[in-house]
Amino acid sequence: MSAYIKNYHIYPMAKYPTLLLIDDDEDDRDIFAIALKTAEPDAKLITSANGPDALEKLAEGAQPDFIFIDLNMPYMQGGKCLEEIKKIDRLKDIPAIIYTTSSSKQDAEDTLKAGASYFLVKPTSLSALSDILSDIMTGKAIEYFIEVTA
Amino acid sequence: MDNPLSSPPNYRTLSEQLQNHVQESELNLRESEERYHKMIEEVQDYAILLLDIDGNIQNWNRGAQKIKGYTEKEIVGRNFRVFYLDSDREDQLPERLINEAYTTGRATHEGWRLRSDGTTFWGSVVITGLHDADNNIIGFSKVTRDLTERKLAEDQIQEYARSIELRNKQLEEYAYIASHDLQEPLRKIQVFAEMLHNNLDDKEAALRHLDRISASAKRMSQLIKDVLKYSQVSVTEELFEDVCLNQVFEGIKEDFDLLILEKGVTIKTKGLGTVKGIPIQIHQLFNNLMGNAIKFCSQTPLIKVSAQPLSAFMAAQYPELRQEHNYTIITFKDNGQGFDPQYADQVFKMFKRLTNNAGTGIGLALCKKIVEHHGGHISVVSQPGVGTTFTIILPVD
Repeated sequence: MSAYIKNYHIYPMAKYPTLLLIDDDEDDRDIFAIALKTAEPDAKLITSANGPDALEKLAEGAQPDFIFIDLNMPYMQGGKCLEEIKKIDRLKDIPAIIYTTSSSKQDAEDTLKAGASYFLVKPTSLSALSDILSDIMTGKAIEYFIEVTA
Repeated sequence: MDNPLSSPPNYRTLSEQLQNHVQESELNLRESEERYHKMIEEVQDYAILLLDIDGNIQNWNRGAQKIKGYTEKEIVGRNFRVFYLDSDREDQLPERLINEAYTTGRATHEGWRLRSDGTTFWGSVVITGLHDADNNIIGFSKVTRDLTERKLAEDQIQEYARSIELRNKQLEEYAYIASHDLQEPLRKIQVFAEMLHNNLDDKEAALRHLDRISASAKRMSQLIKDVLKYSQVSVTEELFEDVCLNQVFEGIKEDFDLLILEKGVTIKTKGLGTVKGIPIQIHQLFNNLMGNAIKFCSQTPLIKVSAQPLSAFMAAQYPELRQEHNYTIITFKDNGQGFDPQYADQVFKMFKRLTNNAGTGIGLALCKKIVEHHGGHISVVSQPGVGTTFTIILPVD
């Protein structure tokens, strides 16, 4: 199955978490929203189509409990966006999850080094995504690992 | 022979004996010298010569004649610089080698050398300083081997290694494409099919999912077509020919005639001339640039294309260009949306899209590959809100 590799073992858990998804692909934003509804109907989702827009939303005070970042995005690449988020004191300990089609080992290593908590390859099934989101939000996402390609 | 000194003290005899002995020694020495000369003279695989302190040739052997083509009569007395290419003589390579042999006792070098008929061979040379009894340099020995065959074989191996490396890089690129970009529409098809499956009763939702499946399949198909185009650039067997750029642009204006009309695009071309290339690829190159310029155009789109010969000074800035070719430098300039200069390198990478547009992200990567396949160079400068200028260098002969 498509899964993910992790950096940290324990996440702060929020009862009804707020998630920020930064992804330029409209289909993927929709898929994510539907999967999240199944995983946790009361979770709140903020979406953003690119890095600069997300940084603006965060600067305006948005306080997500989890941040999902696509890698290949126009205007600002996901890796750079992650770096910028990690520079913000208030957000640096919030789990940032790379959420991408790429299964490149290099990408995974680079982003985990830059402080990403998970490297999550977009699953090919809605129910799989929903299960993974549920595990991430409840801090159970410890046992998963990913097959990354070179 | 008996030792003359051990013979009876008959002075006459002694003197004769001594004289005989000296004569015999001299004869031996002469014979030995002759044998030695003969040996050097007869060696065929090495040019072995003696140079005086100024590098003038003192003797010649059969190997030298075989390798360098001169007869003894033609060459003895001339300076050994005659074996060097013009460019090496300008760089004072022969003088440097002599100097090195003078100061360190020895100089070695490998490089192309001239034969008497003007053809070249790959020579491996050792120049050694010759000293008199007081350790003063009195001249040099110079031994040259013709390693042309080995050099050509080495070059061929290197060329082969380069082409394998290129192929490997391409394979890596395709593996990357397969693992990343072709996965994306496939994954969406799978997810939307699952959604369709869950929503069969809701006709409206089902139709929406079907549309998305169809859009993803279409994108997949376009990606595969573009990747194929990209992969075919360097495997084509087509010959390079003179391509008239004016004709190319006439064709491209026809390709885009509806869009040009719709967006009111003005296209000005000036002094384009011809390039040496594969017509279909040159067309593809400018077609992609035109497509981009129109896609990201401003309110009053103006595209200017001009060309001029690349000067030797400019050519020296591009190490990938070959000295033996002449080049034209083509400027493709638009007044469109432009982009942040920090992305100037990224735009030529596959699948790097700077904006949310409908493209596959292969267009400019393809342009770069075509230009490189023609032994040219492409670069871009851009300023948001002002425009973008592509500079393309292509060979004309």
